[in-house]
Amino acid sequence: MIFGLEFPPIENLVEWPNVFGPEGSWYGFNKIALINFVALAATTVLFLVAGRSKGLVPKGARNLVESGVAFIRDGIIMETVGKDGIRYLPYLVSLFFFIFITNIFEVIPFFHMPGNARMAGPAVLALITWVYFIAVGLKHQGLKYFWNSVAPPGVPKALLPLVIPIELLSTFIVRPFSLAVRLFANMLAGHILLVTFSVLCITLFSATLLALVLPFSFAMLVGLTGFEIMVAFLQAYIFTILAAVYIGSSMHAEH
Amino acid sequence: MSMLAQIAYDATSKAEAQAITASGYAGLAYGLATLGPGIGIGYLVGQSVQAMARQPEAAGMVRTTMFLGIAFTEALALIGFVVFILLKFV
Amino acid sequence: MLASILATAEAVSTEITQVAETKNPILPTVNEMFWAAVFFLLLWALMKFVLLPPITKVMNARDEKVRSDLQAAEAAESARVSKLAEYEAGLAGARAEAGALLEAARSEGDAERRTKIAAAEADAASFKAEASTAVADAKARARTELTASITDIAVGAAEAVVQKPIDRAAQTALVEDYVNRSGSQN
Repeated sequence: MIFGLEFPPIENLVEWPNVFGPEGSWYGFNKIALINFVALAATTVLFLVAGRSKGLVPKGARNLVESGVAFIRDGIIMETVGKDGIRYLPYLVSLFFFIFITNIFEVIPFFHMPGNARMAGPAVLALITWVYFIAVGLKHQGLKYFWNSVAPPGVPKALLPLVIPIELLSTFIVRPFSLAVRLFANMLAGHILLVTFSVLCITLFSATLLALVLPFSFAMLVGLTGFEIMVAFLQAYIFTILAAVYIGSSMHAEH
Repeated sequence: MSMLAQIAYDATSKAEAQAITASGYAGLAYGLATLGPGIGIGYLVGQSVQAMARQPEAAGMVRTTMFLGIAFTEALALIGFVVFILLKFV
Repeated sequence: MLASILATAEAVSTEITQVAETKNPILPTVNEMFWAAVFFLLLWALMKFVLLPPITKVMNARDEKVRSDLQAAEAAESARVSKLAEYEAGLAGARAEAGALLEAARSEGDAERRTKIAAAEADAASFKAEASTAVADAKARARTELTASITDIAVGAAEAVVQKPIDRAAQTALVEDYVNRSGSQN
């Protein structure tokens, strides 16, 4: 309670009861799972509709999908990995669309909950990315991949005892952790911010003098909604580009 | 009130006091965590804008690298935010 | 006493278990991770085998078409350039030919004009010479006639005056001298 402002406990903001399945079970299906499912379904439908339209001139859904795919191909893969990275396009496209759609539910009416404001989604995606870039490294460099990634060539032998633990930590532990935490914390922070201003607006919506402050609070809420749309896009972009950078760095030994 | 009850009461109030201090520290931790990344991102974006202004044809590459740098710099602030949540709500 | 202790202990223990049971808002829950993994992996598989290939196929086809069109345009451009060069070469040849023709015509015309002028001048000169000889003849004839008539008149006049013949030869010389002088004065 601050100045009569009743802020809900954080559990009420991010935790949702199961739609089916008992609480605490491994298959409990709640709102977050529903959002993830909608991300899958929406992407599938969008791509199917886009793929059905023929002709070389893109229109409608096809235009949207193609600009997304071209953005990932030219803006992310070509800029960070190069031409060899085109074969990872399916992974990065699905990563981008999945994260973006789960994020954008932060501002979609009646949902108002970013799927990635729970640690589960980001953790799973970061884990899959972690496994994927290690697998790519093993495929391209064999078992030498581990040595190449912890001991960059050109480092003096005397420094190796210092460099190896740092690189080991930064490549295999900090990378997935920071990937997951970045996405999760950004979305959670945005969600809490929106909730704060919504609660403020509801509290100020009263027959007292406080109502004079309401327009400012509401304007802030509208502005922050726009800002969060941008953040939702930006975080999807950053997650995808970092995944591309990690995959690209395990394709070739650093030099 | 019995002595045992007194002890139990003391223990719970101490826990409450600790919780209050923890939430105070949480705010402090988050405030401190914002400083470095704030300076870092400001410097990074400023330098990127300068680079783009000097060489507009390299703007695409600079922008990509800028976002990467922002992502790495921002991670520290976000870890501060997570610590804040941990201290305040756990 | 005992009951109150027990009650307090129970309250404390329930509080402790409640504290332990409050979920951590940071840690992922198993069910959400399960569903996220299922849906994402499904999306990835679909994307790889069903959704993306038609899109990339058309995009590559378009890129290919753009590239071939560009190449065609470049070929057309180079053809245009060579055509232009050819045309310009032809134009230059034609222009040189025309210049040569013009030059030839001009020199021919010049020569003709020159010969024509020369002929005309020659004509004019001969005409002039003829005319001047005719004039000179006429003049000489006129002069002799004039001399003779003046001599006759003068001699007649003088004979009429002096009533005796006058030496015709001397008078003729006189008249001749006078006519010559007046002719020279003209």
